[in-house]
Amino acid sequence: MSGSEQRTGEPQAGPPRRTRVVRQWWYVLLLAPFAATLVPPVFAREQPSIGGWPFFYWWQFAWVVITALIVALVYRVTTRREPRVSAVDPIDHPTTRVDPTRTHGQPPANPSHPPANPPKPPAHPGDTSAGPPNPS
Amino acid sequence: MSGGIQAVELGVFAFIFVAVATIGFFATRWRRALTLDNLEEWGLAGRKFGTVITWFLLGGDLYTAYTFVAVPALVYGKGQTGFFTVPYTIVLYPFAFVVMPRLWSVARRHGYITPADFTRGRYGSGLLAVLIAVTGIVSIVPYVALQLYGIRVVFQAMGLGSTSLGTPLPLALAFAILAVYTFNAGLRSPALTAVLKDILIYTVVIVAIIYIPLSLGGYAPVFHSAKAALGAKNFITPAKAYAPYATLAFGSALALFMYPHNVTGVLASKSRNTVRRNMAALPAYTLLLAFIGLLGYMAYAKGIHVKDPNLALPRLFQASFPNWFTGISFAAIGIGALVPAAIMAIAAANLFTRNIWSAYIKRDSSPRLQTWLAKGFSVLVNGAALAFILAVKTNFILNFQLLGGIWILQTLPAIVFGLYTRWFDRWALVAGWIAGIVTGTLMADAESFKSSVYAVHQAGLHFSAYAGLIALACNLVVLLIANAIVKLIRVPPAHDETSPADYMAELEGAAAPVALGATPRQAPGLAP
Repeated sequence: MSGSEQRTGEPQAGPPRRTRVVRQWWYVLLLAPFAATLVPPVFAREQPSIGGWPFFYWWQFAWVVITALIVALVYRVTTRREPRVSAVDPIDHPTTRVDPTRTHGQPPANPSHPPANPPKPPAHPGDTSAGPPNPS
Repeated sequence: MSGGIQAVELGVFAFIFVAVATIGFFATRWRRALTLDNLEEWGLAGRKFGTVITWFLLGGDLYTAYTFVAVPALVYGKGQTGFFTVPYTIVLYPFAFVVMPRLWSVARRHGYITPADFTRGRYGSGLLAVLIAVTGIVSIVPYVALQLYGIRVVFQAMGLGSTSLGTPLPLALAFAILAVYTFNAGLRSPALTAVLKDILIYTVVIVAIIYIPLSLGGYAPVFHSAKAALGAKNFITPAKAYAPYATLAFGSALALFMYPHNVTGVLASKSRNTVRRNMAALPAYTLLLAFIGLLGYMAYAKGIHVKDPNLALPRLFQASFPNWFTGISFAAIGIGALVPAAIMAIAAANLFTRNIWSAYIKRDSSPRLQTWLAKGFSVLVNGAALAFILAVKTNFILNFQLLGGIWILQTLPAIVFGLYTRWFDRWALVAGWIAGIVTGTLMADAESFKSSVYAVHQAGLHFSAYAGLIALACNLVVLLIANAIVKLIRVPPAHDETSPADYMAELEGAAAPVALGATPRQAPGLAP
């Protein structure tokens, strides 16, 4: 699965190609949970136990947390934070970041005549706001 | 404890259940759209859920009420086997982290609402889309029935099973609430309810995993009494159970995001990164689930002995908590059933409307008609689930759900491979799907539909594994052979309306620019 996002051959956007390829290698980390939790001979044992928890149990419980941390790490290092520029990035669809609750009050965007708004930088990855993005 | 009706528990349950369902009913007003008369709004809530709401929604979607009853029941009844659900819901996330953002992007670009929409756009094949849609609908109905079953277990625990009308009546009532609430606000209801439900669930479980072991003298006695009651081979996976344990976990993880209702949860989020972030945050529910599994062991330590393992968890709560808190915990399970059941009904309705009705019966249905059809179909799905639970033996529903899991896994090649490559031809995918469904059903039949683990004794091979995964292997072999044949006889490829860049698209907060060919989305209202 690692590096699979390259296969479609989409244009390399944002950071230079080399940085991007290096970043793709982080996806290899995602294989660790498979190796750690899908091979029962590794963990199907009682010892060493911790605080009354047999190995079989604390190992699997621990990997829930480790997996969450791994996915979070891979998310951080593979998420582009640089502002994208429309001219070199055909992926970046020309859309305005309007308040979605208000889109219905506005005329529909015409796909054949994209509005010439400058693309906004992506939301900060740490932004966990559940609300709609603010109109700017 | 058994027999009489638990008035306090029932009162607290009914109050919370009705209050939360009412809030769900008025969810139409939440992030109000000008009209709910289009599927994008009713069925996907306008694709604008942020990270937090998506987390609650997917949490309620992936980890159903039935899970919260079944996992401790499985652990109580069979020990270690039940813990396959932990690796299952661990490896789920690295897999989904890689795959699901691509589905989100392409769906956003082309206005896809269902997984079958995607396969139709990608492979230009109406047949493949219909097969995927039918697989999804057929797999979902017993899943909804299991949610009602989860409610029924709670009713039984509260003493409602003692009279002949005891469970059908409240079940029908719960169904009516579910149907109305889904019908009215669409995906907004379960999303809003999911938040309230999880506040209850997390409170109950955190209290349970601290308070109950404290009253028992810590976790050591919990493990000790479970080992004594179940025997060593049910306490730690024995060598001959390695393959079933691992394949059940792996196969179930691959299957879970193939279920249309889980795709719905993903597509309702507002950005690609919302999906990616959630794959790091959702394991919190896995931890919750793992601890809920341990409650099955705590029941042994508490000296709970029940014939029906499904009652282990309710009886443990009744033996450990005051009545009012038990009522809250049962309400959490009851509402926990409403959330996924509603999303499932919505997903099935979307599949029917988009991929069967609009594709074959009436191609030029207006968005308004489509939405009303979907609403009607959601009631039908809920009704079918109610009929299922009332008319059919519980075991049969369980078996049917196991079969549904095997079937839904057979849609993986068309969906997941399709997200990466067009190398596979539609006809080859159809052939693989048939092979997978047939072998999967035969294997389940050979085990009398009682177990999804199949013992292979063929061609010098002797092992037991998850039938769904074996069927997927057959599916892949046939797919490869059929694909080679299709390439050899040079069948002209069908039109692919997607482009490679679509799969990486990051759009945020804007309407999807392209409508699906035959089923144009309603243009947003023009009035201010």
